[in-house]
Amino acid sequence: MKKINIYISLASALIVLFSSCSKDFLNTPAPNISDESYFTSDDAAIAGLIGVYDPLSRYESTEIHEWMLGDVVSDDSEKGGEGPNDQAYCQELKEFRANSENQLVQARWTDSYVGINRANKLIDGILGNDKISADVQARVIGEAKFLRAYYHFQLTKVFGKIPVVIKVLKPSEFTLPQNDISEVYAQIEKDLSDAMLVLPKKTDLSTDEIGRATKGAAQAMLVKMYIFQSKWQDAADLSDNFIANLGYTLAPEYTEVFTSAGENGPGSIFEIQRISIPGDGEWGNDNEGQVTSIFQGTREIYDENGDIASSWGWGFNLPTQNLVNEYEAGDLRKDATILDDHTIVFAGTDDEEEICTQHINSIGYSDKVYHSLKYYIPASERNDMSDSPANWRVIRYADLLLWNAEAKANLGGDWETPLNEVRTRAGLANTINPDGIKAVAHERRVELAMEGHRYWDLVRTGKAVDKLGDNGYTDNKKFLPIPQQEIALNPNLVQNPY
Amino acid sequence: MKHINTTLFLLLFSLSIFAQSQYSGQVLDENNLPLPGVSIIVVGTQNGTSTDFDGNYLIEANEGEQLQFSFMGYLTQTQTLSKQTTLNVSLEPDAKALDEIVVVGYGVQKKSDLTGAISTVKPEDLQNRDVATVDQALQGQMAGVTVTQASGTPGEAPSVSVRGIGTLNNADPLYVVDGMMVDDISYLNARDIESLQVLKDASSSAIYGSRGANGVIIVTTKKGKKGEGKVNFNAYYGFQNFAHTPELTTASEWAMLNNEARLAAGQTPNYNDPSSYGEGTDWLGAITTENAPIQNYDLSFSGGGESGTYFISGAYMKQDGIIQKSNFDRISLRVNSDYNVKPWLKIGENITITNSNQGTILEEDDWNNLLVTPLTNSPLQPVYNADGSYSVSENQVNNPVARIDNTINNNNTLKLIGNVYGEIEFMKGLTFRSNVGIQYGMGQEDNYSPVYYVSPTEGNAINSLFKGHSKDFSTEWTNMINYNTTIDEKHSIAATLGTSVFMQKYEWDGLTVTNLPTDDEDNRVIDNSPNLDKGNVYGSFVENKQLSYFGRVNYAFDNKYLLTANLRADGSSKFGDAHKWGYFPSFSAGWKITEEQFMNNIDFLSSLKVRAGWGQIGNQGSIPSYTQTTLATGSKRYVWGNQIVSGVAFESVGNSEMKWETTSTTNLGVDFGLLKGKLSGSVEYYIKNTTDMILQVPVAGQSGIESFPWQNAGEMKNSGVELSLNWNDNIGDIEYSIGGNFTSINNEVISLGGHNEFIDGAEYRNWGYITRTVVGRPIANFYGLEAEGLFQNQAEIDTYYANNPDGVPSDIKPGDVRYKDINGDGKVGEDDYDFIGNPLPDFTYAITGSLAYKGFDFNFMLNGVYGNEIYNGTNDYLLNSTAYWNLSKESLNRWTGDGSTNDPKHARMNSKDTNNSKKSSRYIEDGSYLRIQNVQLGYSLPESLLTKMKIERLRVYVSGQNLYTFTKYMGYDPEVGGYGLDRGLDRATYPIPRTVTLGINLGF
Repeated sequence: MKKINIYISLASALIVLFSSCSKDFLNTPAPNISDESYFTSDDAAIAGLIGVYDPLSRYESTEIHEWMLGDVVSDDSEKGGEGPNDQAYCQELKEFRANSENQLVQARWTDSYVGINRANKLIDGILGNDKISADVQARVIGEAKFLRAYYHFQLTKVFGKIPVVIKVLKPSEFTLPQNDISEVYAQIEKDLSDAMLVLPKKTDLSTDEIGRATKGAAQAMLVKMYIFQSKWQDAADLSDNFIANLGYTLAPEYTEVFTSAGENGPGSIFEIQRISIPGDGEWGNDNEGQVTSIFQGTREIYDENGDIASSWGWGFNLPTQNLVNEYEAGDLRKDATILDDHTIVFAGTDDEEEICTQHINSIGYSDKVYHSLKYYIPASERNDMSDSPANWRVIRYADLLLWNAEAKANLGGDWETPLNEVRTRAGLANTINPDGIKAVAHERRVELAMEGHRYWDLVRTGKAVDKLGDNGYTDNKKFLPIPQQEIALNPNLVQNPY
Repeated sequence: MKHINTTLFLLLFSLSIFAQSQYSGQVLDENNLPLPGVSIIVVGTQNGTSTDFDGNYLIEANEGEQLQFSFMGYLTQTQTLSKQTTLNVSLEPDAKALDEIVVVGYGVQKKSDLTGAISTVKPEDLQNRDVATVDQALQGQMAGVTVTQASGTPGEAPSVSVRGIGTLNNADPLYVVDGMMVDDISYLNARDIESLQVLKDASSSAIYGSRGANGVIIVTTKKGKKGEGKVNFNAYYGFQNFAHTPELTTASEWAMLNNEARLAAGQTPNYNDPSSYGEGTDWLGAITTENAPIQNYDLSFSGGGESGTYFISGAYMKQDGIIQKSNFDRISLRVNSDYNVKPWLKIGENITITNSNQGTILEEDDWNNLLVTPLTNSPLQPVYNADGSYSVSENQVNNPVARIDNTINNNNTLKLIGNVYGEIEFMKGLTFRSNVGIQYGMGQEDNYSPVYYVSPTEGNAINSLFKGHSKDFSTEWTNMINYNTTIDEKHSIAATLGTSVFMQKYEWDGLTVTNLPTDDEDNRVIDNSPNLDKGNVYGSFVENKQLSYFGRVNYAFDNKYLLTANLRADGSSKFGDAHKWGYFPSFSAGWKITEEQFMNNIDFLSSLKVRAGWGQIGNQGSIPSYTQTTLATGSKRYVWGNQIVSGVAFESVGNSEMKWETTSTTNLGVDFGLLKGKLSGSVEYYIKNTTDMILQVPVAGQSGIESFPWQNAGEMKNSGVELSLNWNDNIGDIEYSIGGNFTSINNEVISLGGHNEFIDGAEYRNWGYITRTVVGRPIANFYGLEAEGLFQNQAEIDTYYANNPDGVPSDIKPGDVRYKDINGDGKVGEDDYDFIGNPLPDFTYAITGSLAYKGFDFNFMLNGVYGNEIYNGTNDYLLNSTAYWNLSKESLNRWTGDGSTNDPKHARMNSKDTNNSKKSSRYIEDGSYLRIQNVQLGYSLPESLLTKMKIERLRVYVSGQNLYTFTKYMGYDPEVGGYGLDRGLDRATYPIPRTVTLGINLGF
């Protein structure tokens, strides 16, 4: 029995052994870095900032949805694609019968708040953090505020009243109610004003910084906020200041603006940066290329024998005859924007193609439709499905000049000078239109056609009922429905009438 | 831990004191092998003993007295003592007893002594199924164990669930092979299996604590047996084909419908003479391998002597897919040995190495899925153009032949699993066992995309090579003390105490490089890429640890009343400091009614036992590691200075309050044997409540949280009935059996964490989410519009849209689908969504039977599912009113005029339709089926012949798997399955083939 006792004691000892080492044994620290330990250097702050920029390059909310709403829903274009069922949610928007489960509203809501949360998390992590140098702190926070303002604007222009979020929310704060539109704009203005003070001028950026938000981007964005609120005096003053001090000019040739060489050019104020890398993932947000080009590319071309051949694109966002009619005779911008049947593009290069519009004109639109050249990229730049290189032009100097003109026209000032600057480049004589507001509206439509601005111009200037009433627009349609899922998750949200 | 010692001492002291011994001998079983543990008493006295490990006994008694030898499962024998003091006894097995030895958690028990719900599968029932993996062979074998083979891709593991869906998350059972916890059992060779048990209720699985909530499947592999060595060889070879494919329109029919659709939309028809197109292209046929071979060869050696036993086996299995480029092969080796080192020390090991290769095709993609594109592609389109190049589809469907020709996806898995154990017998009934196990798994994925061209939108311009590597290493060390004793003949006690420590590390990395100079197979190495600096790399690492203490006491009084109690304490590294430890108790009791005196006269009832149990178990399989902290996710990319820059984001929020998901089960069961055991069966009823369910609770988008945080938020209830019955008898020389099992489960979501109304799942194409989970319903019910019928005439349309301020939409015409307008606003929208179907079945069942006559044997299994619904996603294409894609034959029954049909599936053709393809009940079909799962006919050569050839057994057979399915379902296969909230949505997955095999079993 003694022998047995020894064994039992041994066995028990083994058991006891485990209990004594258990405390540390069960600690397996996460191999990935946590938020508590992340922001320990300038590089970490920059990495966090890139995370705030990242949602800009999501293919839906800041990209295809921009032209789906801005162009397709306006009188400038038709949806296109294979037929009515192809991206049907876009057609529902165009006919003002979208519901709260529309793909666009959900992506717009989610992606924008992702960007906002990342900005807040970054500001929270580096503000007053002594491990991060003061100048990096200032600039990174400035950029984060610019982006936070940008994302808030993406939301408020679509939904109107939205919850303003300027800090990392605690779970109990996930269901905060909406703010009034004036409060939303007040916060956006504050963020942009802060950003303007600390961000470098575009001319001060090093080549590896091109694409980062600048003082000019923040200031122009703020002008845009004034324009959207009809704060004409503020808009006029701030845009005058911009024109006088920041050194932007229009690129000499309008046609150059939308080529790869024209990216981030002299008239570029802010662009969503895109790059295409072969093999970098085929679809969606896996790569840093965009998907607009393949969406808007032609479905068909004529081959060397003149026969119709399948082409690269999907044939969306088709300029209408109504838009084409808006161009004055001799306006160089028309051929830089509109592609008709048999138009030859990239003539004389290896990328030369003859456009065919037969398919898009067979899918049932009552008037003739066209293709758009602005995001049409040459064959040599085409990569996998959603990986095209062209940057999305968010704000151009021409846009700013026309805001300046619009503000002045509303105030009774000299609107002709900035407007004529834009016309001159387009090969046109000075305007003879005595009505500044109408002249600006016309000029904006043709200068900025197919860039996602038209619908918002119609809405904010009160002309949407007139121009889009036949499609179903009423004043109740000014703001889109808040996503059904968000209404369900936050009972404090009040649905928009639509 | 001091009290453990105390308990042991108490047990030791209670042993009876030996009297002077006189008589001795050995007790042998029917095979003349020693029978340990036989209890021997001197009739009419308190004097008793039992046999030792070698079947020997020693007892004091007087001449003329009687010795009674009894052992569970054997007929009790009484011998009157003569002067001869050596008395050897042979016990005969008791045919009536249900007694098999059943492996339970950390031990074995006689089946008749079980108090929990445990199902057993006989190894021959697994081996009768000529399928690639053991888990596939489990289908239909047991009540309460549901096996769903959602994908028939060779080598793909089915999903196994025990007693329904206990959680919204990982509901996979725990697998324990030879005492080691493993993730799956697809690496096993079915012929290496000695026994397989499933612990279904908490009272039996609680000993596995935090990992037992979804049931435990315990597998024991074969050991050698003492005696002459045996050689077994088994082989089969067979052919596989599609069992069923969706019926499509021919080229003529489709052209006719397409014309009709265009005419309806005011367009010019495309085809002048539809009838001239004939059958058209059989796209599925073009990527099919007809009579795809399946083969398996298995050789084993076993035997043993006084010093130990051995079992050594090797097997090779190879299965080609019914679709090109899909295949599976596996080679496995096993060595299991036992050694008797000392009379009190036994050691042994089980070691297996498995190497498997799997080739897969693109399956999980709503658009380009290779099971979908052959259905949707135009039948007018040839596979190749006249010049031999791939043809370009007119309807924007990828050419499936081009895709399959350029598919190169190979997965290789090497597994090395082994354990070594030692068992010390301190004294009779008291043993200590220590078991150390190691699992090492290495996976390699090799995917290559060569350059090919079909059209500007289809093909691959730049080749790319992906290599992924995974390494999974886990160790487990278990120590146990077992004690068995019988006190005063009537009190039998078995106790187990143990500890276990488990550590797992998983590492994964992968990389993609592009632009290899050639697509040559020999040059597919990373080094050949000219742009290594632009490669994409990925990697992750996870570590988990678990520490456990467990104990069990089984007590039986007079072999009538049985009690079992378990307790396990688990500590897991997955939880924050406050919740690292969980405690999981269980109790169960049984009453063997037929052992009572008053039952002696009831002849028809040979055995009857009632059981009841309750227990709590945890589930940590649901929760990934490191949910306590808010982690940075890298590779958030943007472009600065025309270069990609990478940053980070915090996509979720950590929750340090995470704790165990707990499942409480109450189980009631009855086991019975009637008519001398000819009819046997059991009935179970249980209620299983999962609380603190681990959920990723959706939070409002304004939080900016991308990956929803993990919370203990939900509660779910499953209750069910399980029935199994078996009848065995013979009519003269004909032995036969028929049996069946039945499982019915009611699932209900009790809570989703308070303020959350619903959780959506199963996203598909343009429809968004197909399922919605809400409180008060089973999980993942289909949610959408109810398609009531078809508008028969304009008057119906006008009435329907009377309340719509915009009037009748211009494109709605008679023959279009009429959806139920729940809110009566005259519009069709999300306000009209309702629950339109349930993917969970009312019940599942199986019927098995066997027949043996002389050398012939026949057996079959049918299994079925009843009352579930399937959302046939593929019909978004195949019933589409636009006739844009090829159509289901069903479309020929389309609406053609008032009163022609009111079935929403039969909507009119209209190439500009936007009404008929809404997310609705139009796509919901009855998923019930009854399948002839397995039929086998064998012939064994007579022994007289074999003896001359020195062969013990030679059997040849022909076998069929998945021969026919009785179902109304239109898709490939009604066995759709699902995971989490993604259930019952048929995206068209690889169907299970119909297989016919010829086989041979040889033993000598």
